[in-house]
Amino acid sequence: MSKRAMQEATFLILTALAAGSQHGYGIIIDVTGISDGRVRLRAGTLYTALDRLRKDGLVEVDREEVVDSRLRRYYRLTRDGSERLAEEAARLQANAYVAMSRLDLDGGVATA
Amino acid sequence: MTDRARLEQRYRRLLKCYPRACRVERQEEMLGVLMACARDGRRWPGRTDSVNLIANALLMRVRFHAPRSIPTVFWAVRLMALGAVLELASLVTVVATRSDLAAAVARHYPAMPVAHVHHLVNAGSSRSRSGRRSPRACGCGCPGRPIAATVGRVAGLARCSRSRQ
Repeated sequence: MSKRAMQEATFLILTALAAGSQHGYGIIIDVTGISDGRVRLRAGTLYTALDRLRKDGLVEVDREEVVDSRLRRYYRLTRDGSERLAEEAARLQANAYVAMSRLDLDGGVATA
Repeated sequence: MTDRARLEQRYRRLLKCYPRACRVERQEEMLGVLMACARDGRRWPGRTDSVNLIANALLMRVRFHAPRSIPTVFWAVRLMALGAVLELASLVTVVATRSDLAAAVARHYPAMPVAHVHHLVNAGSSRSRSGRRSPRACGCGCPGRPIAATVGRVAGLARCSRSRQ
């Protein structure tokens, strides 16, 4: 995967998996919680993102279970996935730090 | 049939938009997520969900077919090279056989002046180089004209076969 900025949905999916392995529905619920209800992943979006992340080696299948005669696949972060998420989090943090410090300098008010 | 069963059947229909290889691997898993997300009493997939599934299915189709594009590009390059070789061969043939062509025209139409014969043959080969009718080409409708036109047409065809790629 290139080092360009990660899409928000991808960042949130990796963040959801950073706490431990989860199945598809678990990721959707967790992402909604992390984003405070702002991002609601659809099944199509989730599986397209998971497919790409698996191909990039950032996510892998942890285990499979059958619950109520339905297949549940649990996903987890790989070592590369953890590193990529840490890099992206640091990048966002650095940007946020600069933004906050500049707002403090100007008292948080836009000047003409 | 219960509402849940109907909804599941409709989701299955939507999932048919995905490539077969993708469906074999994920259909049941995705159905589980779609059904878990659906509220009770729903019988039809939501519009946003449907559009999202179809759009992502198309994306997956593009992605699944992507590796096949490498041989396609390879064949396109080969075809282009073949077109270039044909064009070069036709050009060489026209230039090399120019004098033979003039002799043949003169033999078949002994009454035609020599200068006119050369003019016809040169018109044909210059057409083959420029790809269009030469402004100096003979417009008198004399019998030698189709020969020069044929030479030009052969070279023109080779040119077209390359430009179509």
